[in-house]
Amino acid sequence: MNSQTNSLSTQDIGQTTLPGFDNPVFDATTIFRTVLDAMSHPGTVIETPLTCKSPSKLNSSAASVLLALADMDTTVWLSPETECSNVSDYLRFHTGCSLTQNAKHCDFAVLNGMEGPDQIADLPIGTAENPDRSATLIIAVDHFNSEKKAVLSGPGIKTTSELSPSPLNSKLWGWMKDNRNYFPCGIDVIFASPTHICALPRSSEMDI
Amino acid sequence: MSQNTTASSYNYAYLDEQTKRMIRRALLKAVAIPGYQVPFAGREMPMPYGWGTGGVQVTATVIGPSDTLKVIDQGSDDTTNAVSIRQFFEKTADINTTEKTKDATVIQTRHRIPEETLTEGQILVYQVPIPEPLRFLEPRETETRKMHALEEYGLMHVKLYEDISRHGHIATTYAYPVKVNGRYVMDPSPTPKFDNPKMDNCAALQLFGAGREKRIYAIPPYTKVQSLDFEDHPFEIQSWDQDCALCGSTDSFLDEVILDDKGNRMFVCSDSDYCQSRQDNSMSPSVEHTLSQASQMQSVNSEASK
Ligand SMILES: [Zn+2]
Repeated sequence: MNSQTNSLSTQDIGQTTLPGFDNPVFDATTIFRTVLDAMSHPGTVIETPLTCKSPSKLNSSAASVLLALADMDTTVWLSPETECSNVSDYLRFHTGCSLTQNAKHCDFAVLNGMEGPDQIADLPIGTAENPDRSATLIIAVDHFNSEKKAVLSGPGIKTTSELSPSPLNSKLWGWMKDNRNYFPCGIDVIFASPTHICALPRSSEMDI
Repeated sequence: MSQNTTASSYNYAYLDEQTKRMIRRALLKAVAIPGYQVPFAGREMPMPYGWGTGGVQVTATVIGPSDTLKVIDQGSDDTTNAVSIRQFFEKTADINTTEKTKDATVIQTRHRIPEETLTEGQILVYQVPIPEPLRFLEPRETETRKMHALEEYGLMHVKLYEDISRHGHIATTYAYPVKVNGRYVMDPSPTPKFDNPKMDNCAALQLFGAGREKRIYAIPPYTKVQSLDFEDHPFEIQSWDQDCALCGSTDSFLDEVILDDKGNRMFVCSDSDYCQSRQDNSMSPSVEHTLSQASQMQSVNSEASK
C-alpha cells in the first residue's frame, strides 16, 4: 500500500509490519464462526482455525479474535501486562480501533491470565435495561489442561462442561463465579491460548 | 441505494465488512444473554422489509463459502420468498443450497421450524417482523425495556388469561410467548405454537433477526424454552383429526389445501421436505398393509407361545 494514501504510515506505527489476516473477509468470517461456536458451547475448547503472526504479548488466537471483531467503532483496553506499543500499534493498524487507558469505557478488554481481577474491576457490565453494553474480555492463557477445573452448566451446555484455562491467577476463579451474579449484566469471557479458544458467557453457572 | 454500492470492493454476501462486524458483536451478546433483544444498526437490504431483511442480515453475517443454506417460508422451500432469498445468497455468497433439512448448516426460516430434529452445529435463522412480545401491551420501547429489566411479565399472563375467560382456552396460536432460560419473555416469531416445543433444549443454535425494528436475539443450544401457561390451563400444541394425505404423517404440522370449489379439501404437511422424504422412503401402501398384518400375526403368535 502506498503510504501517502494511508493515514497510518509505517513510521507512524513504529516497527509494526506484521501482517493481519491473509484474506480479511473469509478469515474474519471463519474466526467469528469459531467464537460464535465457543460462545454457544461454554467450556468447549475449539481449535482456532487459522494462525496469524502477532506481537509477543498477544497470542495468535487472541489477535485473530480482535482482528475479526474490533474496528473503528470499538474501543479496546489492554491490561498492564499486555499493554505495549507493539500490541496497540498492531491493533490500530489492522482494525482501526481506539485504545483506551480507561477500562470503564471499552468494548473489548485484553488480560493475561496471570493478572488478577483488580485490573478488570472497572470493566462495564451493562445496565439492567441494556445489559449488552458490556465489555467482552479476552484472557490470554497457554493451554486448557489446568489441574484446577470449574464445572459449568446452563445455556449451551447439554449436561455439564469443564473449564480449565492455564495458567490462571487463582483469584480469577472467584471473579468468574461472581460474574454470574450480575446476570443479565456481566462480562463475557473468551479464553485464548495460542491455538485454541474457549468461552465463558455471563449465562454460565459455575461450580469450582 | 446504500453507500456500499459505491465501494470498489465486492461485498461477500452483500453486506460490507463493517456492518458484519457490528452484527457479529450483537450476535455474540445475544447468545450470552439468551432471549434478550440486542439493538443493532441494521442496513437497508435490496428487498422490502416484509421479505425478512432481519433474517437476511443475520444469515449474510454468519454465512461462509463452506456453508450449505436452506431457506423455508411456511415450511416450504418453493415459495417466492424462499426462492428469492436462496437465489440472493447463491449469487452474493457463492454457497451451496439444499432443500434437505439434515444437509443444511444454516437454515433461514419464516413461520416454521423444520419437523426433522435439528442437530448440533446447525444454525436456524428466524425472520422476525415484531421482536417485542410486550409491544401490544405497551407501545413505548422505553417502557418495555424497563419491564424486561424488572421481569415484569404479569401483564402478559393477564393477556393469556383473558383468552381463557373469553374462549375457555388460550386462543393464541401463533407467536405464542416463551420464557428463555427462566429469565426473558421472548417472541418466537410468527411460528405456530406447534413449533414451540422444538425450541426447548434444541441442539442447534437459534438466531432471530428483526430488520425493521433492528433487533437481534438468540437461543443457545440446550437452553430451556418454556411456553407461558397456567397450572389449570397447561400449554398445548395444535393437533389434527386427519393424517397427512400425502405421506400419512400423524405428528407433523398440517396445512389445509382446498381441492375444488365443491368444498373438497385435504390436509398435507406444511414442511415440504419432511413430507417428500417420507413419501420417498415409504413403501407403497399395499406392501405396508401386508407387512403390518404380518407383524400383527407375529405378535399374536409370540403371545401364544408364552
Ligand atoms: Zn406429509
